[in-house]
Amino acid sequence: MTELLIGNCLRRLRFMRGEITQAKLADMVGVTRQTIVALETGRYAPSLELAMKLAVVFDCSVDELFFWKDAEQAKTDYQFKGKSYE
Amino acid sequence: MPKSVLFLLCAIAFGCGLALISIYMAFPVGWVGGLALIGWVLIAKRRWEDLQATTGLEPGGPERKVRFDAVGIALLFGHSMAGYAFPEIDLHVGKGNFLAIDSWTMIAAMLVASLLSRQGKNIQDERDVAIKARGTKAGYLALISILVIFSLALAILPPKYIPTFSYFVIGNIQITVILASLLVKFSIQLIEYTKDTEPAYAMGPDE
Repeated sequence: MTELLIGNCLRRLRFMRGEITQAKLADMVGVTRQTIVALETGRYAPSLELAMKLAVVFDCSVDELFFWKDAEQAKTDYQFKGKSYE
Repeated sequence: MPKSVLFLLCAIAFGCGLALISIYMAFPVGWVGGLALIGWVLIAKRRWEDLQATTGLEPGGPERKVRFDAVGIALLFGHSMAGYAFPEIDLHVGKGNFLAIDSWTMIAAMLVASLLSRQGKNIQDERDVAIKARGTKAGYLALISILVIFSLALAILPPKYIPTFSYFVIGNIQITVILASLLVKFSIQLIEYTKDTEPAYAMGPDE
């Protein structure tokens, strides 16, 4: 399967925040446990809504929860290269 | 190829075999297919309960539904395909075999299987919706493609074959085409789900 470019610290945060089980987390954000498994193993990129729900559960920002696996490559590929008028 | 798709091919072969058996036996084989389907549902449910307790790789509610529907449709598809491949099998009811009654019996078994497979909670989340959308797109493309091919085939068919294609036969072929497109849809969904449940990623449910 295609490797996703975005990783997450879901599993680590789950343990840091009182060992929330996958089932409980799934229940809290309204998805199936299988989706949490797919997220943790990096085979599914969530919608913005789900990402924000997860950030609320772990009381952190979406940025802290999800990250580019190769930030430098992402900058090269997606950073705005036009003229800025600020 | 995922095991679940191979299982669908086996179900098609089984459905086909049932229709062939009905040539030689004046027996409504739909009961055999229906009971086999219900038996498989009960076995699969038990196996998934074991997986839930061990690896945590049991399929979720929406995936289970796809699997049950897929196997039922595969059985029906194989059963109806045999009717076209072997002219000895009469599509009509009461003329030597029970093909139509068998199909309806298996549809009834699918309904029973669907009731048996119901879980208390069966939420469909965004991943299920995305997977369903991919399956539906593939199924729709398959439906249109097969219908175009079938229509062209009818248009260029040599006149001597025209009597074979009565309205009744054409109607039945269209039903089989719909079943084929559903099979494509379910196969794509099963492939997508399989990508998320590779044994290498197994983990206990309480982790």
